[in-house]
Amino acid sequence: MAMVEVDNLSKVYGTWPAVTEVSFGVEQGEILGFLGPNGAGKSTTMKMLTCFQAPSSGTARIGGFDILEDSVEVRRLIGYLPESTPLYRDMTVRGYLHYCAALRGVPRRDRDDRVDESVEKMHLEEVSDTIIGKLSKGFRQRVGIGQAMVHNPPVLILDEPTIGLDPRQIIDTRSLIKGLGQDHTIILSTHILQEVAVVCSSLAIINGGRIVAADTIDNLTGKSREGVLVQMRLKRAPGDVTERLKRVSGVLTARRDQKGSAEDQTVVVEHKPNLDLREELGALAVKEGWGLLELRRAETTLEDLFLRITTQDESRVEMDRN
Amino acid sequence: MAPPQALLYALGVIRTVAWKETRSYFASFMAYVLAFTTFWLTWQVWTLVVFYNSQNAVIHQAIAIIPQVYLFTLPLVTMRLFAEEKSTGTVELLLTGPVTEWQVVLGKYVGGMAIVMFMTFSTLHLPFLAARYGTIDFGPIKSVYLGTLLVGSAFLALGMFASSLTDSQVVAGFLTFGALVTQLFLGSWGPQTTSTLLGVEWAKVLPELSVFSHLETMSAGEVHAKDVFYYASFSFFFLYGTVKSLQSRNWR
Repeated sequence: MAMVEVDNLSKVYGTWPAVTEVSFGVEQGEILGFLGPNGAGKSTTMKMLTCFQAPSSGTARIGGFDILEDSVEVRRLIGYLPESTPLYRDMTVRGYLHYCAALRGVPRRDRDDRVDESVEKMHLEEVSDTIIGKLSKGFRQRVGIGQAMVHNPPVLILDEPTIGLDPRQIIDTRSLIKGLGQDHTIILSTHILQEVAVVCSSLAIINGGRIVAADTIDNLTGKSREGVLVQMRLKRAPGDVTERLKRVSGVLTARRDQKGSAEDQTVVVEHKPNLDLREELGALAVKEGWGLLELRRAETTLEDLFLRITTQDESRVEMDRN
Repeated sequence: MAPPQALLYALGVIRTVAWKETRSYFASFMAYVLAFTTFWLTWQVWTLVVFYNSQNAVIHQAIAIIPQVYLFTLPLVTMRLFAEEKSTGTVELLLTGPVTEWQVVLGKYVGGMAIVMFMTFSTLHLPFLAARYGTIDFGPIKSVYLGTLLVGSAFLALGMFASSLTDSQVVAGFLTFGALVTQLFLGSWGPQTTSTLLGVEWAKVLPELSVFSHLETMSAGEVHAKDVFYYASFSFFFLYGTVKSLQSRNWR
């Protein structure tokens, strides 16, 4: 039995289907990256898992307890950080953590120890007696994560925990979450691919309210080897270079990389496996006078996977509509 | 969890929430401001009572002004109870804990009553001061204070309900104030106006609905069970409404 089992969860706000038949599972000790563009339904799904809102249909089980039938038991097992990291601005850090510990059923005699542990793990010692309203965003975020773990729940549900932090804090928070993953089951939502790559062991991609991929990261990046990637650096890439490349037989997609200057554009071409189009693509670039600087095979990254899956999904939606 | 353990846990949640709310009121000075306002206005009324009627100056005439002061002070107490949590998003953290809506509502109610008592008892100096200068019958004074606290409880529950309906403290405050003014209307000039329009029967019914009219006998020194029951059920009704209002997030 997985620690978290989501079973066809749906949420419709009026006529707007925010989340449609979402299903996935998280094993004990796993860190699941819940990845999707903004508005995909990540926060809504998390609000349902934490029993803040009831689903329109479907259900989920955490630790075997149903979110509808055994709501209080479910909430005893989870620690949650909402997207906006809401905190009581008029309390001190320690006072707030004590309050959260009390509300979440930590016995009185253990509260001090648990609060101390939270403060230590989140590096909040220097601000532990400061009023939360006076803290910077980075510290408030850490207090938010601190309250999620103060009662040592087996499952942590974190909604965009690194949003708004500076690069240093992002690195620290990610390594902290990775460390927590040893003793906790974690669901972490984000729209930053790199975060998933660094922190998570498995991934569920959501787009337009539906799960479009759910598996371990190794499986997913291995799976996308239906296409072979070739990367070309061009000095004089014309505006329609991606269209021209797509017309080459055997090519699946071509896209421009955002990085690079005007004189050094990178284009990534994905073509069918069992073919080697490097020679053909190179010849085309030379013939058209695009100024070929570099041509090589590239590895599939999560970014390619993500873009392809979400683009595929959109074109499928288009087809359904037509 | 076994039932007695569950009850202890529930009481623990109520106590934790109540304590937090009370400290919050004192930290923001709201408690002191409201207590001082109540104290000041009551003293002024008392001075007027003495001025116009010094032979028979009756203390509970001054204390009985407190429920009318509540019209202004209680919305200020209650408007933040849920509206602020909804607007800052802290309600999400509160309700995703292993707590029931009843526990949260009762906790905030107890915290609010602590402030109501603080405000009301800030006027206690009056009876004791008056006792130095004349004979005081403490019976009616005890009953009028009881009545005042019961009115406070009723208004607190009503205000909490209003606060749970919106995420704007201002709207909650105005809703509460409007409802309390209506209560005043029902008890005093309401019956006269409606009975001319709708018939004499209304003149008898409407005051029964009003919080203020039930206070009158208590001011005289008599505590009737029916009045206490009225206040208790009034409070319960709006506390129940608040719980339902919170639970309604699941119906959408």
